[in-house]
Amino acid sequence: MLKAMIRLQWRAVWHIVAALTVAGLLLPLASVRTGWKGGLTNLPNFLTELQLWGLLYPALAALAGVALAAGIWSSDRRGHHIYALTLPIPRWRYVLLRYLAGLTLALPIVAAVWLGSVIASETLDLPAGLRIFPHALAAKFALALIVLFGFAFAIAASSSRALGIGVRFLALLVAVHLGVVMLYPKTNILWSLVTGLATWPGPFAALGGRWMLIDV
Amino acid sequence: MSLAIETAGLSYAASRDFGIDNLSLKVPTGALYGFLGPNGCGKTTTIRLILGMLHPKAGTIRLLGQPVPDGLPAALARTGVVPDRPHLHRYLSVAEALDFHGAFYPSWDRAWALQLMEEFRLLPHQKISGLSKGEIAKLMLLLATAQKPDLLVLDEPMDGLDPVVRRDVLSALLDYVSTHGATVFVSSHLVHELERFCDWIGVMDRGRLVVELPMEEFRNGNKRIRLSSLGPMEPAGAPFTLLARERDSGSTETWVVRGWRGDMSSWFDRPGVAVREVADLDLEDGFVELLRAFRAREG
Repeated sequence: MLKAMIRLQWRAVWHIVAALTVAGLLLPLASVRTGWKGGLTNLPNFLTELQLWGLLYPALAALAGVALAAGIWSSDRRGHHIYALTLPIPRWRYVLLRYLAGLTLALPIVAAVWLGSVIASETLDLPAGLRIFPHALAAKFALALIVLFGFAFAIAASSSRALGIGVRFLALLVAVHLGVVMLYPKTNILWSLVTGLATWPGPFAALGGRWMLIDV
Repeated sequence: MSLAIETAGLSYAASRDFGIDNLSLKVPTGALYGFLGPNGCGKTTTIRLILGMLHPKAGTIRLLGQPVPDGLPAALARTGVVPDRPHLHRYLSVAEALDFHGAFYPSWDRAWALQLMEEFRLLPHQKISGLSKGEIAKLMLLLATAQKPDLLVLDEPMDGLDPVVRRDVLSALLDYVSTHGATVFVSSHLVHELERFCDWIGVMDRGRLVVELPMEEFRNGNKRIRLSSLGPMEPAGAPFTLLARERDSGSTETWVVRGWRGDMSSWFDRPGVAVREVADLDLEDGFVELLRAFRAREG
């Protein structure tokens, strides 16, 4: 069943996977090539440039996670999940199959980032004091992609009713935030929430930190 | 009598104005059961409840002996479904759709599926998005039958099809039923469509079951009776159900009745009353009169 599901999803999102795999391969190569222009004479500039390029890794992970999740569920959503509901498996198992197949299709993108990083690091003759992290970068990218794919997957798989509840909850949160801000101007619930989600042990902590292929 | 589908006291609120109300269906195993009703009467909602897609407010459902929703996967493994609208993945080819569908059914008969594909003149590399309505209908029936189900649930499967495709689909369906002895539960708003092959019929209106009986009984029990009587007659105590009555002119009156048998003429044996004619009501007229009487009764 998983094989059939992977084939089905591949047919739905192969163009997304292909485009993002190419992007994942080129990103580390391009970051090193453009940053290395100055050579060793301008090392601080090289590292700053790499840091700027590093912002594109979580962006690529986010794009891949959202595009894969949306592409995977689009056909089921268009058909109001009727076809899926006639299949003789429990709903949770169908969702799990879709999730695992989606993760499988994310593998080439992660592999491309890893391969691009390895190739990029092989092309450089780095001075002492600089270290290269192709495996760590690829692992961080994989983690970010898994988190974002999971988040987007949950939204894409939700029924309109569940989404409505989520939107109402967010609206309530904003209303509470505004109410609290009016009474206690120094309290910022939303900022605390965003910070909590984006820093360890929050689920989006994987997106933060330094995304450096080469660092001191 | 073993039942392929059984609902008891089924209720569901689809909206503020419409719902399924206390629906108790009994579909005998092996029956070709026609589920008849006007558009918007709740046939599709009922089918979705039976297949566990919707959760009822009250009542119980058993599908092939399995309780719904707890035993649903086991029941669905033996049930072929053709939904009211095709919901297949449009980017797949016919062959890919077959492979995907077959992966979920242990009883999937690939050889037979390929044979049906040929019979239906479907090409394996054809994209589903490029299929005509008739070809989609054939593919849906192919998918539903190639898993060798014990029960076929078909929601308006022939709606909007041209007569040639309709005949192809019907013939494939009957072929399958005759060789595998499967139960068929088919909904439609077209009386004549069901009349041709169903042996049981359930009529639904406004979310409620109006009547459920063998087709033969439905077909033969509906009569139009022309009476002559000196004064108005009351149907109290009649052994049949009066669906409608109309005073023609002078002393003649027409009654539309259900549940008629030949020996019931004697009920009219009273002074000043004579039965002039007992005519068969065609199925569509019977259906219309039945609904009219139901609506008059229910307000």
